[in-house]
Amino acid sequence: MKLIKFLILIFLLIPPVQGQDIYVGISAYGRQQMDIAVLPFLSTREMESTAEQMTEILNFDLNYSLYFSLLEDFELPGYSDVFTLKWDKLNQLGAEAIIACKISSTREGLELNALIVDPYSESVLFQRSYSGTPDKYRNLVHQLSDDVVEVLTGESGIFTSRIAYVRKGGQTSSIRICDYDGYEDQVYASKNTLNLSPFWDKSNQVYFTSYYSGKPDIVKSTSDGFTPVAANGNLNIGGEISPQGDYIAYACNIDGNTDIYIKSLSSGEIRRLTFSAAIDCSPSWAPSGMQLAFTSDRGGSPQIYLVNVDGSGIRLLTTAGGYNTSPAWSPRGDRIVFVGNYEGLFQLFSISPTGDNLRQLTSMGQNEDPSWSADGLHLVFSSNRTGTYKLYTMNFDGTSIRELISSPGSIMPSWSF
Amino acid sequence: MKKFALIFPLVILLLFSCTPKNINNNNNVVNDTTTTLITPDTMTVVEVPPNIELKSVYFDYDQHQILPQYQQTMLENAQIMQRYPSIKVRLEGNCDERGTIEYNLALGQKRADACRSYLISYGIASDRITTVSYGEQRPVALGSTESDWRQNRRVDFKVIYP
Repeated sequence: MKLIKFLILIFLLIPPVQGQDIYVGISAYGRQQMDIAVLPFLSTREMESTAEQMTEILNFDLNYSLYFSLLEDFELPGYSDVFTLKWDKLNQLGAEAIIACKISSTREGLELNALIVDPYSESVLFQRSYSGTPDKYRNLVHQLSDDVVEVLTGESGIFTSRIAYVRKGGQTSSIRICDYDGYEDQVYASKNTLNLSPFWDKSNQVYFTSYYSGKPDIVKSTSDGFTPVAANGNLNIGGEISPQGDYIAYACNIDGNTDIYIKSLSSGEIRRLTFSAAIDCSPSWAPSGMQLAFTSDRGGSPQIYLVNVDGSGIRLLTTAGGYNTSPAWSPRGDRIVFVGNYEGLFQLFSISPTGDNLRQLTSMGQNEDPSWSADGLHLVFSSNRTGTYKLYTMNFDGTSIRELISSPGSIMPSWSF
Repeated sequence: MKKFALIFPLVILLLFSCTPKNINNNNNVVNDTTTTLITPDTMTVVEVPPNIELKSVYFDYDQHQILPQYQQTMLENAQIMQRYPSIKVRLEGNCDERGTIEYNLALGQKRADACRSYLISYGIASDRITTVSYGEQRPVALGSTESDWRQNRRVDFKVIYP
């Protein structure tokens, strides 16, 4: 036993080379990927196909997180019950943590029992059962994935987060909402009018710009219909809720020109932040809530500027290229992603808030509307790289581009908090 | 000064007593397809045809200034509005696809505002003009060539009948 413990110690001292091979980017945030194993979900014979799908979803989620390197093609002979795990067999897998799950059918529908174990300390780190109707099996796994991330990294997972976006159809467009992985895609609001620029508040309510009154107002959809949130002047667009959840920033022309305003969600008090005669639009909050990035053509062409939340300290951020718009400030604070025209095409770039380390993230087709996941590790955006506009996600550094929504005319995604 | 104080309200009263709105109220006969009204300056009956067309004006890429070649169009549009004081206009600002969506919404508003200022400078009352921007959401030409884009960078003048 002492020898085994010694061997474990040796193993832990060896850096997880495998993780570095698969993905190096996460080390930018001071982390190494952790080697973990997801055991195949156990079930009765009738539920085998559901168990297989749920195993796949958990693997996909945890791979997507960037925190983990998942063991593949391992064998665990004789594995038949989550609660009779043999430590000596488990710690031969070479995983720093192992997730073991079992599903069963109950009166309520579906129950998922999950364990997270540390095979080296031979301890159960986490145990929980999740239940819901059988059609919610994806959501049960996403809840577990959030727990796995939190237990093993201390960070919040993004797997129960959702993405709101616009689907165009002729002269009108609807707001739709899907899960972070593109599943459970449904219409949220339509009203046979033009609806654009959805965004989320911290209680997972969706706001958007709607032409239902004949001009663009920022509204939220309630059981009574569309309720105006910002509807002054002729133009209210591009809202974003502050990271603290207390203010909405948006662009409005109430004073005769499109400028940046913030409005208190509790008192309704409105503060004007910019006073330029030029176009100022598309505000995006810094995670501190003390600064915003926005688009302005005050210098003759659209560029990204920063402003303090009291309206002071306006400064130019982007100096390369003649058309830079749509800033999205990372929830980690260290990067601002924006749309830049490069050789006639819109590409996504990222830059530090001090204007250093400009990096190009995309290179195919047109790319627009970047929005960050709450963990600051992923981006969703629209692109016409295959001919029509669809939604894609990628890692913060431009790697692992995946199609999210394949229906043409899908634009303006916004990732929930 | 005292005289002026007396005359001023009188002039205002006179002006208001012969605005089209008041005259319209006295003239209850409204045709299905045309509206009849008496303009205050000539006191003659002017038929408002049902199909008044105001011409669109077009813009350079990422610009919202009225180009010299469209100043005549603006003048003609203003003259038509002067001829038919009961009509109003909705200025709809549009952009080509070569911009990002939110910025183009703001740019379309700028274009509509530029036309609004022109009409006001020609003496059209501001309460007869509304503006809205559709950004790049309402193109008239669906292609991706300069000739398509040129048609889409425009402000449409939508006549609103009384």
